[in-house]
Amino acid sequence: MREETAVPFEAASATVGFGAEAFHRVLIRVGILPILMVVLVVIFGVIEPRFLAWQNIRTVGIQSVYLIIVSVAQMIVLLTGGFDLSVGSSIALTSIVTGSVLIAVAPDFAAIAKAAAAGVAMATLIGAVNGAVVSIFTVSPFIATLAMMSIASGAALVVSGGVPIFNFPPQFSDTLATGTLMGVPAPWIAVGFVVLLVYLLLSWTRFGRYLYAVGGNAEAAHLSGVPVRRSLFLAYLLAGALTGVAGVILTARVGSGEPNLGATVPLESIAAAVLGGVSLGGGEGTLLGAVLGAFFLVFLRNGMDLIRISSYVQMVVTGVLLIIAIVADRYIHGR
Amino acid sequence: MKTSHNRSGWLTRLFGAGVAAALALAFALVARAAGGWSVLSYYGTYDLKTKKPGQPAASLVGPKAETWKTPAAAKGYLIGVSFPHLKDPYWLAVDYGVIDEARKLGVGIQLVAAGGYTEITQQINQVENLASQKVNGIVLAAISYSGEDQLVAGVVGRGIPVIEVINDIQAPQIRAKALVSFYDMGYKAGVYVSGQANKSARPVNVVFLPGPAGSGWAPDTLDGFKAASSKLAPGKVKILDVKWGDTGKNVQLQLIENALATYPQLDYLVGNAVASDAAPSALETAGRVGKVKVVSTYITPPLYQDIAKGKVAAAPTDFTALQGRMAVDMMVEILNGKVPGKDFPFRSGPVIQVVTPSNYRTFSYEAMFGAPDWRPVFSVKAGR
Repeated sequence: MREETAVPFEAASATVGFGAEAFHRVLIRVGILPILMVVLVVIFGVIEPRFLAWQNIRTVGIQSVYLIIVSVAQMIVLLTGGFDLSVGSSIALTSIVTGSVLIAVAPDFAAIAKAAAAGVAMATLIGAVNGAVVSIFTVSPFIATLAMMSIASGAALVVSGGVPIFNFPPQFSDTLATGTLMGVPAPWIAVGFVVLLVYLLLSWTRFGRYLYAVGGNAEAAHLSGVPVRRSLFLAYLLAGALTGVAGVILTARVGSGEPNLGATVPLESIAAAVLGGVSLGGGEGTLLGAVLGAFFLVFLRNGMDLIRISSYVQMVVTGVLLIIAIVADRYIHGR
Repeated sequence: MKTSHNRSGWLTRLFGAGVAAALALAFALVARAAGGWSVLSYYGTYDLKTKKPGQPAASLVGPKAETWKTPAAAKGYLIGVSFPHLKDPYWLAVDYGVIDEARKLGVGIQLVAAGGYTEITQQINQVENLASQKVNGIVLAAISYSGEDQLVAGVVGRGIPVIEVINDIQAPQIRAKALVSFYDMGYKAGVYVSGQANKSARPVNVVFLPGPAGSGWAPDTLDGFKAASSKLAPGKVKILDVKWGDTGKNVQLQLIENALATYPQLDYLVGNAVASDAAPSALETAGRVGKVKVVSTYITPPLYQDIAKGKVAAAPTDFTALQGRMAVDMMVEILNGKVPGKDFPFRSGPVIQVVTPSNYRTFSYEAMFGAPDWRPVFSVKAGR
């Protein structure tokens, strides 16, 4: 009788042990963020059922697109051990360039393409200069991109004279902000395209491996034959181009060229990437992490707005959750 | 001959009267160009003990409704001007007013702009540098209500008069103020919404988006709005929520989208001009055009277009460019030896008007926003 009861007990404790281990394994694999998100979805959804309405889910989806793209750009640079403070003013300049071109040319589909291309080209140029300064002249990314932040926001003000460029042809926003392709909103197509491209680059190309190697240990990477400078340059160039994409669709979203657009983006994108497990020290982090981190920040703000947490308290809560998430992540990974 | 002489005398008189009428008309037009807009003025002495933020000091006498008079400059003075920044249409309009008035009066301008409302240290340095450049007087648009009192005392102590434009300041040594209170702007928005609420059978629901928390102006608009609605439509204007946020268009757009999702019974979005400009597209996306009306607490050129298109219901204007002109005029008065509070107002600002789709054509675009193609100008040399 005693033996009979002992067997199920041992089996049960083994199951519990296995469960905890599996849970830990899942934690290591996906991080604390998805769990935090599930908890928050339940809290927000219970307090305010409208949080889970399709209309709101769609809104959060659209709101998060811009931060996701910039956070992915930021992650690419973070992987190399740097970061990019100029993403915000790059968005502003992209917005002004896109707006100026759009107003200057006839309002048809070609004009939209030209304006968008000009905006992305501008941001790519900013990325190229950042890359050149960091890789060729070995200036610290902090200083190089801080300087670029000043240059680009100054340039946006010089071109615009401080006034938004408005009276856009409606086709621009109708296509890039509220337009859909087979029912899928255009900003989602853009973010899908960006994520797919970066996924392929990081996981399936030598360049992707190089980024991790350069960020992990640039000297060791160099000795192993990794083209450190070229990789660094391309990382900033790519980050610039992606920021340009975000700038163009953000311009379409707000419907005007804004010289002060994206001011909050640099720190938010760094926070999002780090929240998603991307290391500030370089060489570590995943695309999924950066995407989730950005989504988390936007979804958190939306949820807090919907359950009517005051703007002041929201700032405190965001900061506290940021610390909790990062500390928990460190704890799970035993760092 | 006599008859003929008489006829010619009659003709001469008629001609003379015509010339006189033409001259009077020309004089009236010139007078109109040189001032001539309606203002509310305060005279008397500025006693700091009677001063509250957002309100004129109680020691002053006013408001007196009068027509603004532009002085002539006795000399080609050099006036220093300090702005918090020059990177939006609002400050561009002030720039236009200051520069255009200086050119008209033949005085010089040396204008500096700090990097934004967080850059108080930079503004202090810039004003001290202006004082060292031997300007005759300084027009200050202070970043902080109370943080620049020492600065003003120091500059005035060096014999350089300082007056305030646009933003209110505490500084006891300030010599004059050309401004409109943002409390009054919020009040006007409140008057409009209260009027609509009184016509409605049920109370109207409002979400208010003042702008940046802790800024010198955004909280005042909210206070003014609340004061107006509780006085004019007690219990009929319900503020469901107050959403603070920077005046970046994407930031305001997100706040609006979230507010629309939270409050299906919303009637009015009231707030800063950036939010009001972002609101129409959010309403369109949410399918709430016509159900939710947009009212701003101040006006910008993009918002003016929205009003013209009927997408925004109302926005008060403080005639921003005129305030820039008035500041230059006040400084010229002081430098001419006139006494503020006695010979001309200590504090004065244009009468606030509410711009709506039905009346927007009646207001001067230039008085609100400056010339349509205006680009920032930082300096003017004295002399006409």
